[in-house]
Amino acid sequence: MYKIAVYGKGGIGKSTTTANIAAALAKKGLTVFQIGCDPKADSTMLHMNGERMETVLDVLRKKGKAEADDIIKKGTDGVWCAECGGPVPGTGCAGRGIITAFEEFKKLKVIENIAPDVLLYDVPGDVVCGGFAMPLRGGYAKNVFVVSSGEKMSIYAAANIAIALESFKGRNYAELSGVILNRRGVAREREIAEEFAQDANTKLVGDMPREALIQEAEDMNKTLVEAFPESEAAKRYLELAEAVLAASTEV
Amino acid sequence: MSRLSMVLPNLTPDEGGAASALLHLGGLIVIHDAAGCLENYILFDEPRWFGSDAMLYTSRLSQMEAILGGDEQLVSGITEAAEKMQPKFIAIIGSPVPALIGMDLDSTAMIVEAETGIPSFAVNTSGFYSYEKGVEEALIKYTERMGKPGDIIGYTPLDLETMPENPTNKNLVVSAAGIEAAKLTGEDFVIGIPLGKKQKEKLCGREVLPAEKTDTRCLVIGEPVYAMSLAEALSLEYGWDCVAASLTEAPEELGVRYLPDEVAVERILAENYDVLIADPLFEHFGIHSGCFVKIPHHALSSDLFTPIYNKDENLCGNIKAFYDIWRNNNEEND
Repeated sequence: MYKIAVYGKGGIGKSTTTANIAAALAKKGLTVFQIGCDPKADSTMLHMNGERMETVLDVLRKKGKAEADDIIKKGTDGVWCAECGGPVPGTGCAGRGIITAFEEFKKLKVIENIAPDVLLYDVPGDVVCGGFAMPLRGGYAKNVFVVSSGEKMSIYAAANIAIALESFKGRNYAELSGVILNRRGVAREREIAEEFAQDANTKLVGDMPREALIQEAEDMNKTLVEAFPESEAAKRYLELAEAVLAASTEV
Repeated sequence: MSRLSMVLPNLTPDEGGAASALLHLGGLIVIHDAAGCLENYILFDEPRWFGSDAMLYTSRLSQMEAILGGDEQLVSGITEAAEKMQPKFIAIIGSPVPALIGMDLDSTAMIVEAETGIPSFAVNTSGFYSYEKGVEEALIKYTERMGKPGDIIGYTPLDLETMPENPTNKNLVVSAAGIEAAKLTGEDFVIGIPLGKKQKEKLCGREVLPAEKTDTRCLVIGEPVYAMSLAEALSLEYGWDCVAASLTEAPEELGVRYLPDEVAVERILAENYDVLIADPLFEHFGIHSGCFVKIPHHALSSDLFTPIYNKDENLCGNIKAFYDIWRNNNEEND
């Protein structure tokens, strides 16, 4: 099993990238399980026909107890999905929410039962407290990829993730395994991303151009890979998915 | 409403359970918590703390450490203490604050072990659960690293006044919280506490002739294995029709009714048993009108009451005698 976490600044295209990687791998015949860790719970919508699925915390809030069937759903493209969820914005503790959701996955043996070839965690990049580092802990993700554009703030957020991972050395945490450039039309964009990757002791594993079809696919509530499987862009996502696996360690 | 505790106090929290499960095993135990919180543990939860030389400490977690994160101070404090005391193992016990800020105590233990060379582990207690969850995780973590804690698994003074003897030639699991650790050892085990002559024989796997059934209905409320053992002991000795129940959950095969809240307690008390055996605090429900044998449960009532000695060979006989006297008095009054 590959256990991969995708981090990145909010709005940088992290969920879109993760969802398309998942869809591309599922299309290849692999069993893929995508876990959304953003309290907004919008990571898996493109697998779910645009619908926000019921989150682990929703179920716990309503029923006090969750069953595996309540919290995992198979998407229209065959990708298994779960969303951690979070508190009402401005209240509670989102980080503890992720920890609690992960405890539920463990208790209900969700990952063992799905037994995915690839497990993808989609995590907000602002690792503001211990909870958001949960997917990085020993036993969860093994490899981390950071999605970034060449924009300063995006690189800055990516660098913070690299710093967090560096500070966890010796603790059996996930390792930074690559940077995925999601272009925003910044000058020297590839160079900037490559420089950052080098500084962070890792490499650029993907270079995704701006792509109008992504928006079109999203309007259809689908990943680009599902909506336009024959497009050049879909092929690029497949290549990216393969590059991500090649840079990861099977556990 | 069912979640409100109107009558009973809360059970000891999970971090107290974890610390008590490990206290007598020769390790350095550090509860990672605000200093004020240890007071609860030493004053109310752990009867052995005063006068014991067990190495149990609080890390005196400060507000700024909680805000800024990191575990350098915790690691250096533990390392320093461990160098002086050379414990057999080091256990870091979680509490509400580290749980909420998402501290990864497992990885802290990993760093401590790398620095001290002493086997170290964390127990991820949070204060959100009651003691048995902490006992369970502590024993699992201990067994994984150190092997079984002895041939008695699951003992804490929160449930039993003294460590029972093991009359069997297998491991003896004396609380529901010890079952998972017992499974981990891969060795054979028996679940039960010797509390009556015939029940002890049965625990050892010998055939016993149960007493003839009577119509005396008895309810035992306590830790699941304790309640189950005492119910079985009384039923084998005197033919009583016994039901075991507990405020904490246990595997179904123990046959112990789980009472998740006070509504469930009220419901079972209303079933009109002739004899109720439970912590004295159950009197405050004011429902049971039969004979009430009060056996304090430390995890519930702390040291409010004088404990009943669980090694008393005549425990069942005393209960029976108490009931007989109670019944005679009641019949006279009628």
